[in-house]
Amino acid sequence: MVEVDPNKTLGIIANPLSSRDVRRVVSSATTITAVERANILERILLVLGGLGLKRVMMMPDRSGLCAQLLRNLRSRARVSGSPLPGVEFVDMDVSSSSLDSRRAAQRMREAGVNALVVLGGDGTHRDVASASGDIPIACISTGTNNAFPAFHEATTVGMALGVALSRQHAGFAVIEPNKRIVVRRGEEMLDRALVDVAVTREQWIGSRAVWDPASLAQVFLAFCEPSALGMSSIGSACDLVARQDSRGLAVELHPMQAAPTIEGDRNTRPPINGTAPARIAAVPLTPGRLFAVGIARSWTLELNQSHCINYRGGVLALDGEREIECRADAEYSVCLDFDGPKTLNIPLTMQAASEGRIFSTQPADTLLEASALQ
Amino acid sequence: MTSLTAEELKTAYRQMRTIRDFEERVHDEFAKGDIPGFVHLYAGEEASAVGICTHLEDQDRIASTHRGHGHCIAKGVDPIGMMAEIYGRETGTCKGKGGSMHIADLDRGMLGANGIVGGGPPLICGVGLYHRMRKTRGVGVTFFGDGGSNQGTTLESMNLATVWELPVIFVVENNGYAESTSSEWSVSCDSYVDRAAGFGMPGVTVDGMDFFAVYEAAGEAIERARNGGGPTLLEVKLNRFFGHFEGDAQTYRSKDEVKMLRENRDCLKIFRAKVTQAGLLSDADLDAIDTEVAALIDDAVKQAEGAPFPSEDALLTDVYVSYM
Repeated sequence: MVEVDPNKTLGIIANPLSSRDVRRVVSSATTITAVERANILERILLVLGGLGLKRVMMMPDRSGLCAQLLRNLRSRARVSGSPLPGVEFVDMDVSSSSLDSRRAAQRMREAGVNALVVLGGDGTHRDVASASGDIPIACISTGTNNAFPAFHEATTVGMALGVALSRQHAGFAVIEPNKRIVVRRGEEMLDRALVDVAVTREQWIGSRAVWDPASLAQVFLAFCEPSALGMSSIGSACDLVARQDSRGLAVELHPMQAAPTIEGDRNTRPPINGTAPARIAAVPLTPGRLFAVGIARSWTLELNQSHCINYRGGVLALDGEREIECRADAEYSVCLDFDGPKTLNIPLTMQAASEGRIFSTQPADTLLEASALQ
Repeated sequence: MTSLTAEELKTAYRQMRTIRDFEERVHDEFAKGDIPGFVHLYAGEEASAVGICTHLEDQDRIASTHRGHGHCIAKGVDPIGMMAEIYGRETGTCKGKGGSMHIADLDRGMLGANGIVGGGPPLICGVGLYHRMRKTRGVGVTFFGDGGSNQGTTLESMNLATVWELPVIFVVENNGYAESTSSEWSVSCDSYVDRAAGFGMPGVTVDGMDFFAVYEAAGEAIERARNGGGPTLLEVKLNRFFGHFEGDAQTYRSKDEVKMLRENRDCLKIFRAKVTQAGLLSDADLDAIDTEVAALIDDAVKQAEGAPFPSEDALLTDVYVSYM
């Protein structure tokens, strides 16, 4: 039976700000409330408390998430007496910005946290990955356009984390490396993306989200899966690249005057320069909306090779959020490598746990006999 | 993709600068004891009022709060009349009988500052109903704070606006303090977007220190309302540079907090840095506006100080409205 090593610590970084941006107005994006986020964390901690976890470090916030979780845990302890780990908060200033996730990840790494659970979207996971080093991350999507984290039921995430933090069964945990795309200005590293870097014609960071295909010039992708939303979906219209493939993809978009939406034809306008794009693909850039995107060409992004961005000015969007306002007089480049964060593959870990019967208390053959008798 | 012309950028900066200078000056003059009544200053929050009101036309209405000077200026109310109003002079926007918390200018679509916390949302539902029934494409915007967000009137209005699909925008200007109480202590589940979701209304949180973030998000919400898409809640996270009211000793926050905010989280400084770095405007363009605004505010104070008080026989006029 899986037993969590009592000396191990779980870190929690739950971004209270994810799924709060303008895509709730311009499309029908999800809102996962703070109450639901606290509920997700409660389920994870109930499972892990039962498996013997004693200590949790958590990022503090000023949006009511931690307060809600503590209320839930107090109430749960009073009502059921379930064993629960102690929750400590990282001693840090709260800026209520993406800086918090970066800072918390750094502090947790310094404190020797053994595994992380992250609630957020691609942006939050990027922030955590900037400082998480080799700590395995269990990723849960609570953001908007998520290509990097997936939706998982918290209970089984708790079980998979239990395996990763266990005394004797940690070898069953499936921990994978990930790619990332490093963005540089000249030689200076500015930031890194986990899924995509988009070169936009926008003038400023503004409300951060990117939802207008007419603003896109180029997209660089670490991977593109057919079921993902956002920039990744532009890549999937050209070629599929798996997370573990040793390559990425670059796509150059056709400068259409204004991209028509597929929903209706009221915005349809001709291409700006009269030449047709190689292809117009219908892609889900934001939740609930298919946009027409003109694709000029695509090519393979080789690992560890710097690629110059041949668009001057504009704003670079990392994992779907405008982050870098480019100076017209500077050279920017991207480079794909495999130095992204380490992630806990929840389905594969649960599969290994199932095959190894490590959540069973009886010897495997006894269980088999019992089921055969029924 | 949103973009603004150089002239539009200058107008936005001029309005933000006017609000800032107006408030800094009221702060100084209030300390001298020449201004009657209470004043609540908007300095630090300018990007919210201007980022939102830049999208509005005269037929669009706004309902404000006790901290209303910024909303007034952003909606086009004359700062000279406003200053006279705050001084309680006959030449004021409301003939000197309203003061800071009751400045209203219906011709500009400004329904009034409001001394009642949570007083704006019910008013704006009336505006929304008018525009919806008359099919004008007009919208209503109501501002309230994190304190006002807990009022029953606000929550009832959000419900009404959703079921009637009214063209209104609820703007929570979240400066983190309801008077002196931090929202951490006073707001359960203090993500306002979550509250919007509870009513089935989209909600968006934006950085209120960045004019462009507010401008873009507000533009989408207002356009949605004009097109019949119904209400939106906009949470603008911002900071106030002064106390809750003038005279507030601010024992609930450290002196360093305001110093840090003025250095690092000043929406005017952030605006200047962005537009000059992007080559959209030059420092000289912005300096010229600073000079022009400083003169305007000087003039406003001089005119206010020189204007007469309302006469005693005006005491009972403008109290009731005859609809006949």
